[in-house]
Amino acid sequence: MIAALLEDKHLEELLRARVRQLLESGQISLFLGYERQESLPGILPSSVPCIIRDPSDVARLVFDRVCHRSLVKYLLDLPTGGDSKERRAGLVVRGCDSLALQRLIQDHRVSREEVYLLGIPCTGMVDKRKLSKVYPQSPSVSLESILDDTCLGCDTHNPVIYDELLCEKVSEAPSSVVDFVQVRRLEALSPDERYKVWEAEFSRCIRCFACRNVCPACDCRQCTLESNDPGWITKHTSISEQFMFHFIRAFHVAGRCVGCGECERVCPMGINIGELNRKFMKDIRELFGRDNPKMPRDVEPLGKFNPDDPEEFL
Amino acid sequence: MSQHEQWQPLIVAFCCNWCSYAGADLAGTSRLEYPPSIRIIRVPCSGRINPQFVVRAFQRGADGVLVAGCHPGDCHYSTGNFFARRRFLLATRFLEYLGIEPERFEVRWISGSEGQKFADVVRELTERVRKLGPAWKLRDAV
Ligand code: SF4
Ligand code: SF4
Ligand code: FES
Repeated sequence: MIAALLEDKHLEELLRARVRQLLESGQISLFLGYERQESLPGILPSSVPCIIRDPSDVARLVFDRVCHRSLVKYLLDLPTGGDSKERRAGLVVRGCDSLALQRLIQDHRVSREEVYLLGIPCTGMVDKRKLSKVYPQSPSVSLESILDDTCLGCDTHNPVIYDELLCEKVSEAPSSVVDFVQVRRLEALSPDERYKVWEAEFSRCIRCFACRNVCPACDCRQCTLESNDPGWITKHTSISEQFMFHFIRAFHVAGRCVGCGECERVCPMGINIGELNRKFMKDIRELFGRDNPKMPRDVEPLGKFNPDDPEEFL
Repeated sequence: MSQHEQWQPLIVAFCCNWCSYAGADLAGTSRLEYPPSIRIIRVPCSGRINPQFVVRAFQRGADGVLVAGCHPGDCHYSTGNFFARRRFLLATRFLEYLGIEPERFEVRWISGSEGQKFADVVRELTERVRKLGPAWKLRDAV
């Protein structure tokens, strides 16, 4: 039952056929995709990223609603140099992936010519934490009840850049992210209450850096969080250092975050750092009139100014 | 006198070299009185002030933080304070969002001729922080 909700065999066949053609014709030299992770009966199905170089391997490729990981950041780890045609990589992009890729392109970390994009209009990925509560016993669950929160609030189902689409575009639902419900809820608390909320969240952080590693807006070659001089953070996990870590991480993606939700999904401790990113989005929209704070531009809101910006500091 | 009234808070002020630091200097040479609570850190421009500096100040003992620069349009480097303004419009809100009392943190434009304003700003900030008592949020455990 649930398996049927997760899969789209037709799309998967299309994807395999197309990747085979692209590899055989030499249009791409490798394909970044997903493959099924071995799992025992009754264990959650899951997919992991894989690299396909040989056309005869395309049968390994899968694409379903448990292909969470955004693949675009892997592009930064591919070997560079040589003829750009030779290292052209193919990959699938959903709406959020395409925003993330756009971010890397604007930042000159990836060039558009290096990638061949198979666009997939996406209607949402499944939240593993929600799925684990119903899998595999529950005979019937609605898709809506197990979808990822980011996907439920998504307003970019269709990729914004692609070379070809593998299926029909889907209609864009108005985003619920723009209401910033959780941010407003937190804003309504007193400073002490808010501090307690964040203290409880940040104190669970194990500083694994997964949220940074996965983030397409965190694409600097040299990360300040790893610098000893100036050493903004040490290896301590005192609450004061946790605040510093999260302040830096969030501020460094302010105005750059594409709202893909990867940082929240990847966090092993379930820390709601997305509410930090969304706070910046909300303020940027209100203060600087950026209508779509998720869409990457070549100059970000903090990289420019308007002489008529709100004045509060007189 | 209550305990708080005797207590002298520690205020860290990041002042741009060209205006606000000169304003502080003028307050001194004009013999204006303001609380001894303040420790000034001179920076080349308000655009040099990374919002992380503010968090660091709270970590290392500040009870209040002031960020001061030239008035918009007067920056020695033309546009540094316009960038700073954007940055700190967000940073003030973000610090508040993390649970820091907004009374502890202030950004002001203070020119080299505004010695009186500098003294007033420091006095007002000190009084507000004094009412709140010592800052403990963000503080390094020592
Ligand atoms: S901060 Fe999180 S939601 Fe924003 S771009 Fe980075 S990973 Fe995606
Ligand atoms: S992924 Fe979660 S636990 Fe790891 S560093 Fe980020 S917030 Fe902390
Ligand atoms: S020099 Fe004073 S703000 Fe730039």
